[in-house]
Amino acid sequence: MTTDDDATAQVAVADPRDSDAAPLTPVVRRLGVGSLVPREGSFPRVLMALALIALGIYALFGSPFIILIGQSCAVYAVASMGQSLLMGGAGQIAISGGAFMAVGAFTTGMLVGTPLHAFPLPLIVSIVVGWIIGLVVGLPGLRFRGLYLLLASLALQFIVTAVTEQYEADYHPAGLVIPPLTLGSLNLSAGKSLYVTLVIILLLVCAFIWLIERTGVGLAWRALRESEVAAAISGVDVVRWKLYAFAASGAITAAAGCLFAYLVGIADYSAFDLTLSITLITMVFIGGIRSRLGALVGAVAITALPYLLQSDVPGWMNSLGLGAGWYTNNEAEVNAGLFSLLFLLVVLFEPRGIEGLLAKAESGTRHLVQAVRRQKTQEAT
Amino acid sequence: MNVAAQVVEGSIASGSIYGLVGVGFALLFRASKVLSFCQGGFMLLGAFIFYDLEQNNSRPFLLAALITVVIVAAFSALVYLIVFARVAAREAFATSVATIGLAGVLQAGVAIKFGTAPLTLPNVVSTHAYNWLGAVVPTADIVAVSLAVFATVVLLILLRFTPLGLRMNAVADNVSLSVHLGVSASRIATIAWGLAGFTAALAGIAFSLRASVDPVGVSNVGLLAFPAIILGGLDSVGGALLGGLLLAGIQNTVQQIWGAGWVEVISFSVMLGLLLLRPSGMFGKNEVVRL
Repeated sequence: MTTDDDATAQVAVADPRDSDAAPLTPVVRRLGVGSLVPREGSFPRVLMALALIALGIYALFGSPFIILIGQSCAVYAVASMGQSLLMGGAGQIAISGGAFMAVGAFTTGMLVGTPLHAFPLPLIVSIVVGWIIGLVVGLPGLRFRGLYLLLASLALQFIVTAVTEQYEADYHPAGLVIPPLTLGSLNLSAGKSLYVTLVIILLLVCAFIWLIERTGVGLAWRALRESEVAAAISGVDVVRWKLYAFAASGAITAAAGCLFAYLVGIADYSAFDLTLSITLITMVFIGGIRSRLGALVGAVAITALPYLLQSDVPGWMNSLGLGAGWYTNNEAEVNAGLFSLLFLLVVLFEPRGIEGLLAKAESGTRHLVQAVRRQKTQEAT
Repeated sequence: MNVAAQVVEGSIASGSIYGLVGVGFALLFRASKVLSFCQGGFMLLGAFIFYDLEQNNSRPFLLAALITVVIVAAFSALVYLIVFARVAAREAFATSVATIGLAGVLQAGVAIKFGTAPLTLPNVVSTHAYNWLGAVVPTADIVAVSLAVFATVVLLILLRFTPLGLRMNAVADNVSLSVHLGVSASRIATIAWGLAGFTAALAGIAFSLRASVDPVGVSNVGLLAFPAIILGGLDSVGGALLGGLLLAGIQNTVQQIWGAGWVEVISFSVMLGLLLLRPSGMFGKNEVVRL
């Protein structure tokens, strides 16, 4: 106990003296081996990126089942990026992700049989339609601060579900059939080729968001996120940029809906309900609302976890002496409950999600290492 | 049977359920600026506890209703104290978002316990139906409407004539000022959560008397009531009941003229229009900040 106390005391005393030497460290690091050690605070992002790359490559060479999971991960990751652009980028919360995915999927379905049915075109049309709907619906929700976007997006979710249900009942009782994905004469409809296509589109979306967040647009969104009042005072047209953020998020989420339709081969209204919207928000929050990387991690975790639970939990429960039947019988409900609980806890107690937890772990470890080092130098002198 | 009279009757009965849910919303919003997405969850809890008491223990109606209401109100207040209290005081908006998660947890819990198939209550109130002014009025509808009127009147009296109501109004008006004057905002918020649970449980009971209950259907009522709250004004208790009646009137008329598929489209379009043109609703205080 006493050594711990001494260490913290040393840290406290040593801090002012260290500040003189601090400006030198970046120079030293750039020249030496230290450049390989990530800067303080970047460790969570490096770890998450590496994990994603590793998983992406693993899925590429995995069994057909793993590739299947990888495909849906990629699609949900696009949707989650779209939501993250709005929630993390511009700081506005909406629960209409499912509605925008429905917009994309149904646009794709309706284009079948028209001259615009060849592959990249439905994706582009979905993006445009998502953008327009975002502009129209965003207006009532974004004129005012806070809860009003949440309410307007809830209304949008219910309206889209009802309209698509009605459309489906009137014209396509079994859902809109989507043809297999082909690009020219290339067949990309299944397995590895579909996975690679989806990942490439995901990377394009990521690159687009990464670029746009580094322009003045991204700066305006960041200003909105930090404080709308301060942003307005600094000359940011608050309503306009909030509206564009909502529309851009809608466009990307609609693209995900288009890809989802190609993946499943059918556009059916019941897949795009409020539960999907909530799942998408959960992805963004669990990964870490502030970073786009977090949204990717969240999407992969939330998409892959049910498959993992499905194959492993009955075994665990058997080994614990509990019947496996209880979980298999209530699987959908138990998973939904678990995710909701996770969402609740993350929103309330760790809004930075996985990234925040990793950052805490990093700073904790760093402090420990520093304390130990100081202890050692102290002993040496 | 007169179609118009029947539409009015159905609107009053289902409107009173929306009203009950909405009254709870309004109370919560006034007390803590939290917009609760889990009123449907508490309603679900009320409906299924009531179902359990009636089906498996066959208690008399009033006793079962009383037990249900007390359990749900206590649970709601307890959830606030344990889960939300620390964050709600700082970040009302984050808490509103988190209630979406709570709704999911409650829905999953009920679905695991009772299954997802619709369940129908045994006859707890008389099945006799009256014939008034050309409309058939089942006893269950009369009970539902009286529950709503009873709860709203009790709450309005509480808010207007008691010291507790005075404190709740003070917090709704200006939190920091009332805290400086010695009102415990967190205690008021706890009471508001309890009362919101109380009205949601009553709504659940009223719903289960009128129709069969299933987890998704009942918890969606909590979300379908949102247009009603916006109609009435987010922070107006009496307005919530009127908004509920108005919404149900619109819905039943739409259903009669265009069919059931249009009900949600029209009611949520009304909500979007209101958000655009008059976000404070009919009776709400106009305190949104425009930027």
